[in-house]
Amino acid sequence: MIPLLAQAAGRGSLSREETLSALRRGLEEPNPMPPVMPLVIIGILGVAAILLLFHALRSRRTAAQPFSYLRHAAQLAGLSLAELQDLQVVAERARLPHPTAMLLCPTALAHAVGLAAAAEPDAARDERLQRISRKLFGVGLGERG
Amino acid sequence: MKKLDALYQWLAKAAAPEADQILGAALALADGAYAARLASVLLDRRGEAAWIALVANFPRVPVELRPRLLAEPELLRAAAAAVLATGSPNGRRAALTLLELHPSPQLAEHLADLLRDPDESLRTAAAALLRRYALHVLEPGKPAGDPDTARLFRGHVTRALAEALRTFDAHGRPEVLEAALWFARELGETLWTALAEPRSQRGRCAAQHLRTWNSPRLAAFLLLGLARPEWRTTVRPLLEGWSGRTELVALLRNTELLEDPQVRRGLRHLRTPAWFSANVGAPALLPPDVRGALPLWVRNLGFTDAERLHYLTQWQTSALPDVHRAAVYALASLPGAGALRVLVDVAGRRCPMSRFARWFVAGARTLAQARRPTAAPPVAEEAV
Repeated sequence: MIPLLAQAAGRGSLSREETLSALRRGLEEPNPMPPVMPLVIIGILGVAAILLLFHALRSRRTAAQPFSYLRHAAQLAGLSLAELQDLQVVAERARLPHPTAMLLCPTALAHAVGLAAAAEPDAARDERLQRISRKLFGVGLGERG
Repeated sequence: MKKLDALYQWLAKAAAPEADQILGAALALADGAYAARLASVLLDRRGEAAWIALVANFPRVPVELRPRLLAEPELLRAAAAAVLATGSPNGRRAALTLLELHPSPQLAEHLADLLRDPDESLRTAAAALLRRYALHVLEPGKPAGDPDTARLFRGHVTRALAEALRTFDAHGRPEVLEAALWFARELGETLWTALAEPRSQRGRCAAQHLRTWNSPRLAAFLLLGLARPEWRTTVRPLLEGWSGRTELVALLRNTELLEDPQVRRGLRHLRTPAWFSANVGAPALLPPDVRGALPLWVRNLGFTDAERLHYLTQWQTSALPDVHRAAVYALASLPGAGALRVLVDVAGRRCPMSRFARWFVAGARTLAQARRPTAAPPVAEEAV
């Protein structure tokens, strides 16, 4: 409607009748899409695509990260995130197939710490693991309960 | 410690087999109260993965908990088979320890596979255990009271020995070759073909060790070897050297081998063997299931007809029905007038075989009369 009125306006002053008929034609004729609309639609589709991609990536990341027995066991055992990280480092250095076993008995933990120390000595880490052993089992590494 | 309890409870209830593997990995390093607790949790889980963890760590399972492990024989066998096939070297060693303490001949085939294990100590242990299982199933009535089960066990051990024989050149364990010779009857041509293979060490190894392996368990092998010209000179000295009652009984237990004409021909090469002559004076002292075979052996061993007649004449008067019956049948198969005279005597006596003897003598007399009327000795009228 606005373009029709604008066209009529471009021709000079309109009579009342002309104005009304132009208005009627404008109402009767289909409204052509403004030039900005395709951009808006492309923008909306783009945002949707980004959202979909983000969702898919997040799903994949969630699927690639299976349930961690060690993480859950550490939570149940009341260990902090820092302590869990120490245990993860030990498990990795000691190449343990079942790291959670470290939390089940003091000899398993001491064995893992020994293997990790042989692979990569770290006195500070050993000290922290000593504390974990006392916290979990009431005895230090290598001590009998 | 309450938090540790929560951790144990979570693993006790976790459905995934990873929980069993975690508990097993901890048990492998645990001792004392922790080992008992871990084993107990695994026993409560009562699944194949739990039993695999327990078998793979059997030495760490406290003695008082072991009856619970053994109370599930099917789970136990499945777990032991899995550990022997795919377990770690320590796990395989633990499974072997379990199978030593609690023999399971159904798993003999897995022991044969273990003979090619990369770990030499495991190969040695597997060979010793396979030989022990072979001994176990050879003991009369030992592996199982039920004959079907005994046959099943024997079948497993025979198959294991066949496999061990096949792979002999890879493992070279003489003790399993020795055990394979004990099963010569069951292995049949598989054994002889394997021993005859020119590129293999089997035949040479057997021939070299035979004197040190000398035992009544070799009875079937020696009898079958006697029937084979290529083995006759190797096995004959061993059979000629036997003199005890145990050896006699072992040979008598293989009487069905005499159905083979080659074996009967082979026996003729043994002239008056000491193991026979020295132990047959009192058949009543021999086991009831074998003594009835004595006359058949006399008939086939390398005795003269006079010696045969001597033994059979003795036994036809035996109070033991089986010996008496077999002696009369053997006499009927002997050529010459001497045997017929004894049968005439049997025909005239009141004994279980007198009816057979009467018919036999009558038949012999009819045949003799048809050929030469005076050949057959007279038979008392009342006896016929």
